[in-house]
Amino acid sequence: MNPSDAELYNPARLDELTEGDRAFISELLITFRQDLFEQLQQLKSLAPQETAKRKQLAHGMRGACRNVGAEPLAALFHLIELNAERDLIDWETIETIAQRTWNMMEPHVTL
Amino acid sequence: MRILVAEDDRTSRMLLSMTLRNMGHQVVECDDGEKAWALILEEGGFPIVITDWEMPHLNGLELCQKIRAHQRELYYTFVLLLTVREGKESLLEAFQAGADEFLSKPIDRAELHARIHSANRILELESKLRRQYRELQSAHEMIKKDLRAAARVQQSLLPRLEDAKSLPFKVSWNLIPCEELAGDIFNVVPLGENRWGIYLLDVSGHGVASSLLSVTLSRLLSAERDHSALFGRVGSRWDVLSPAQVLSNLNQRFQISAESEGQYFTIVYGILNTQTRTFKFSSAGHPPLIQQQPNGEVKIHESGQLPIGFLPDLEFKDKILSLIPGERLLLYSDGVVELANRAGELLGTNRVTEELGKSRSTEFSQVLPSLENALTQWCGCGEEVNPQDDISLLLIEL
Repeated sequence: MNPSDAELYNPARLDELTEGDRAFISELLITFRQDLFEQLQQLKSLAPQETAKRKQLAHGMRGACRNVGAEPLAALFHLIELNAERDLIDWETIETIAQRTWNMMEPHVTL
Repeated sequence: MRILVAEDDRTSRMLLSMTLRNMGHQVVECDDGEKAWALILEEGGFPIVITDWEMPHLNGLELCQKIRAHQRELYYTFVLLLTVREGKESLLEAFQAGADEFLSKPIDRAELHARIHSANRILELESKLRRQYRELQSAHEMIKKDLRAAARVQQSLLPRLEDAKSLPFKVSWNLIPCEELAGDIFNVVPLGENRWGIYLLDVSGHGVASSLLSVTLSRLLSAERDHSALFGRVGSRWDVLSPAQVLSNLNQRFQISAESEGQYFTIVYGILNTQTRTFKFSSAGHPPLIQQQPNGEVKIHESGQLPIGFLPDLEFKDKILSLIPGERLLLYSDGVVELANRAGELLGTNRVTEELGKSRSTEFSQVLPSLENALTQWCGCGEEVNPQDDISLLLIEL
């Protein structure tokens, strides 16, 4: 494991919120993964001038990431939201970080 | 507690709903503002709505505004706005839209618990307030009903039209109370031997307390000799007392005291003798009597005396007017002369006199309606006079 990857996901947050409900955490993380990669695809497919939609999607994902305890990924979505007018996104880096975040989550899926 | 959660992000919605359910609440979920509004309408409202700020179709602020615009009387909806927004302006915008409180993202269990607890407390207070408001409304309705019944009793004490027709002189009147019950009262009382007692009195204030005293006084100023203040017993017979004596007796009996809560009254009382064509009268602090001769000339008979109740040994004087056929006398309360127009200016005795002068050639039955019309125009209050004080008018023509 890359030592910095441990920072990508904080499992204590969901443990505390759900009072350690493993089944619910698993269901939630699977839903999160599905939405995360779907919305990344949607974001990538947007035309440069579709700034409002880009802002809205990034804002939504930022909230979801913060809720599940993926703060670094939330910060990246915040950057996308703030720079929605400028299409300067390095999708490869974001997809890599999203994948590495999921890798840290996956062991917590016990279903 | 039934809570509606409106949040477009599936993960956040699941997490929030699950946390609320774990706290023991019933949760209904939806993923945009329009669906939330449809659910609110369909289910007849939710005590608590937690809504995200940014949502497609109808955002959280717009949902708040709709909830507030359609707020039902039955209960209040507490709206919690989910936000990652920062800055004072955003908060003000949300409060103006009708949000009650904020819930910051990411969700914090302790904060969520505290917010719901506080919402619950406010909802309980709101519900108590609404219940008390409904109780007050119902009590108010009951009081109004009682007052209307009391007003009917009070109206029954005024002169009756059928009795007025049999009088050897013409009389017309009107009483416009500023509340259901009036402190003004007047009457024409047969005293025997072509004599008629005519009075108009105005108890200080208005409403229930004043009307109770005015009703008591109307009983005292009646033709029933054994308890009337208009007669005095001399041996075995009853003599008609002069107006000044009547006022003096009333003054001794109704002095201002702590028990009477500072109540006093003004009165003009006179004896019209249709045989001698005289009007002997006395007044206690009452607005001047207006006498209008058939040729249109108007005389104002001022009263410089204090109202009843101020000084126990006050002496009253009689004044005698000689009348000729067709002569009119106008008795009225201060509610007439103190009627204010929109600029706050009072009507005053001179304007009343002028208006009366205009109606000299008017048929007797139309004089008071024409005067009331002038009052309505003066106060600029639409079709009816809406006075700050009771208005009473009593017009007599020999």
